[in-house]
Amino acid sequence: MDNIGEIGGLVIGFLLTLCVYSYIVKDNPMYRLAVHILVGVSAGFAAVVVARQVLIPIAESALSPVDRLPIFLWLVPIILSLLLLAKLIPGYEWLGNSSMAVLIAVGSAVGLVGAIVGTLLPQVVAKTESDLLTLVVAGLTICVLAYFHFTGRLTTTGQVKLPVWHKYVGLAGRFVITIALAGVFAGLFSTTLVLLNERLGFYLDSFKELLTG
Amino acid sequence: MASITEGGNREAPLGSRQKPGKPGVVRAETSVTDEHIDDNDSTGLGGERTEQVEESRPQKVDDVSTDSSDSSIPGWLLDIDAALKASRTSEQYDSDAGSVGGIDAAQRGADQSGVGGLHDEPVRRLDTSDLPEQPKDSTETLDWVSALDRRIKKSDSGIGEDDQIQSQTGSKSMDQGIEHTGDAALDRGQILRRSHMGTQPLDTEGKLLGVPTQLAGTDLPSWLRDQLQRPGDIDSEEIAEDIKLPEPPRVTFIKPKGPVIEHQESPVEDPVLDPSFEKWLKQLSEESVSPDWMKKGEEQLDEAVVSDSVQASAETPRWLRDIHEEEGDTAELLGIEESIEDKGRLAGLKGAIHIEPAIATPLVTSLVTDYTISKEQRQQIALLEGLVHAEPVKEKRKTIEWSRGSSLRLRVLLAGALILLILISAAAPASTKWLQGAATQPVSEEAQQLYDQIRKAAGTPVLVAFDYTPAMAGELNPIANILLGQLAEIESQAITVSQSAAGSEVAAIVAQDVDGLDWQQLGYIPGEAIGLRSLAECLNDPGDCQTLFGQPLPDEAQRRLAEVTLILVLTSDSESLTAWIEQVEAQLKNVALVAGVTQALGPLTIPYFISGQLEGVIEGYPDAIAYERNLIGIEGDSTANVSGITLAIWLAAGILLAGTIYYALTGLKLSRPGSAKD
Repeated sequence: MDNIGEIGGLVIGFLLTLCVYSYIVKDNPMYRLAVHILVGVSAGFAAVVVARQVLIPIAESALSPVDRLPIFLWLVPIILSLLLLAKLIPGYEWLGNSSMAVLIAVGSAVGLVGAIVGTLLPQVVAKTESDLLTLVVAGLTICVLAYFHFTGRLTTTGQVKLPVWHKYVGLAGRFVITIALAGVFAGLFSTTLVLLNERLGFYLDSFKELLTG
Repeated sequence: MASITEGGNREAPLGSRQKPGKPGVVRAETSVTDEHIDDNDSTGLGGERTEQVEESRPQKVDDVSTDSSDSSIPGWLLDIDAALKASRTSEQYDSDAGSVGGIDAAQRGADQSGVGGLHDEPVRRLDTSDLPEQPKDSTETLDWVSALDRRIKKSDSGIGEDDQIQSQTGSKSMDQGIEHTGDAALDRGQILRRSHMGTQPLDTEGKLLGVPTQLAGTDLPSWLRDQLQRPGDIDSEEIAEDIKLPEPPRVTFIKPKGPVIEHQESPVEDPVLDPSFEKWLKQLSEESVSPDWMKKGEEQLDEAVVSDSVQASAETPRWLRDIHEEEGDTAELLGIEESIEDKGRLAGLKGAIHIEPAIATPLVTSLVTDYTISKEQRQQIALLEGLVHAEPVKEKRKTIEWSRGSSLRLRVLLAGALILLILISAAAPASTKWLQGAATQPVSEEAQQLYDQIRKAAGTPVLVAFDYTPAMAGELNPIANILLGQLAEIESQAITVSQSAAGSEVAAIVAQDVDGLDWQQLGYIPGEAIGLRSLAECLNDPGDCQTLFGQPLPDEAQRRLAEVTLILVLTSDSESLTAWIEQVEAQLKNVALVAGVTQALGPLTIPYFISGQLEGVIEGYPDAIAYERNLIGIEGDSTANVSGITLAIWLAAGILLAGTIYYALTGLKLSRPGSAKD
């Protein structure tokens, strides 16, 4: 370690890592301190990045429209942005509703079109190598969807009676969901072990290098 | 009912009666109307001023004895008689405008021709409709009742002061207006007599209401007869002359300041008594010297109470004993410890209620909101719940504490074991090298296709998206290193972008570590799905490609984007992956999309790979090791670190297996019949 700053960073990082791992025992102030530092640093870093890569270039473009877009084209987005800031002022939150409406409407429209074109249709027309596998996948998908079918017929005794097939189909759907969630959990556990291994290996190597010079 | 005139002098005692057929003086207690009310009335009667209206009128009702000389009739009976008579005569006079002496005539005022209204003020009519009708023969009273009435008369005279005090301090009718003052006066008289005699009200015709039938017609006991016939009975007129009370001030109570928000949290403030009232009470206690008649009466009472002969001769009637046996002792039932009076006229009696604190302490009410629970009630609820659930709560608490303690120990033990295994494998890789072979898996089809796609993109720019934060760098950085190394090997330029603010910095760090890599950073793409859609349009038509803030890309960048044939997405977020697939891949025509994701995100990529939207995937750390060892042919840091991960996975698998077996056995044991009792 040539740089004293790197040593300091290493020590601070190690201490914060210990603070985070202290959650194994129980929730404690040191863990919360580390989490708060992480959240605060992440938010601050994101703000700096947005300012550098989005806001400042936009301002430069708006203020020097030579060979670029005329400045009046920036009036609409700037006004909408300023109105969005009014959400922070008590009593004037309604001024930002139009900006929020634009954001939500455009985002929803783009997301909906993308979901239909990018996921739903391709998944419907997708073919596997085996037709049998395609049928199995389709059947299991139906089972999972049927598990969330809660509509029944009201009997004379006031009870809701589900169809007979729902009991078996729903059971198959629950089995599929359990298997899928178990797979996701296994992957998550593996990812966690990898992260732990990487951190421990990093500090072990760093301190070994620090001690050996 | 005794009343107080404006001068404060007490009127002659009630009880003046007329003989039948003789014109006499009939007193009617009336009240003046509002226009004659003096708010600063020194009598303290709440603005009410009573006057004695004496009228000379012919006596038309012969069935009621009104002989004033008949001292055997008590004053309160005469009072009610007068009211009844006034009521009856007023009904007759209603139809006879020319008759005199009627109260209604007084009410009609001076414009009537009758002479009944001695005062010009309109006088209110006494409402005696509430009085019970008495039989005609009820005027005949027994001798012992007459004797008892004399005693009552004395007592009535004796408590005259208290009557006035109570009427001034607590009379509700004063605040309710003057309209029913006459009725209120009658009601007060009944109430006071009722409280004085006991719990039974007195009849208006000289009979005691509520006297048991067993007593009707029986003779008085000898001891009571002796007391009643004792010489020296006090005349009520004598009492009236002796009593001179200071005029009480008008009592005003100061209400607690401020609203009572919550009953249990804000204790009621002590009531503040008007200083003038306190002064008056003090003056009353100092000046109230017992007159001679009262002293004489006290002596007689003391003798009557203390006399052994009297006590011996006193016998409780059978019917009273039966009632007492049925009802039991009220004090015992209520759990009240009654004290015995040791002095005064009530010496020797139990459960006496002292009147002075009751007068001096006014009733204080506070606003109690609906459905409020006081602090005491909460404590009672807590105590009851504690009694009901005492044992189960204790056992449950023990179970919870044991469970928490064992859970904590087990958690710390597992974490320690995991860290120890990883440190051992990292510190001594040679000892765990045999695990590297066991952990190596064959290359998956997804990884193989990704490798092929990268090979196809040789010499062309590849758009690499770093959509992850440093928190996930432990798993994704090795994958990025492998893939960027392969790009460097095939001499493809890497153009890095990111939807994460920190992703750009991560990309820079990783790209700088790859030897021989030609890379260029486009930076942060804001707007999530909207930003990616704009990027897709830019890739489809590179000639008109602009940045989000309206600046056209440099020519070199536009040329490189036009040459992009492969997009590599490195992400740990499912939304990011689907956004790339839905917004970019769906819009592109000749550009392939591959992904390197964490192992947790692996299952999400399978459908897209099957549908052909993803043309290659590396799922997590194990896939990356297989990719590195089998396809690229090197053993990098990823391969070296796999030993610790393998050990940790084995440990976790062993613990899961042991836990499953343990809980299966204990669960079977608990599920056996009868095991629940244990």
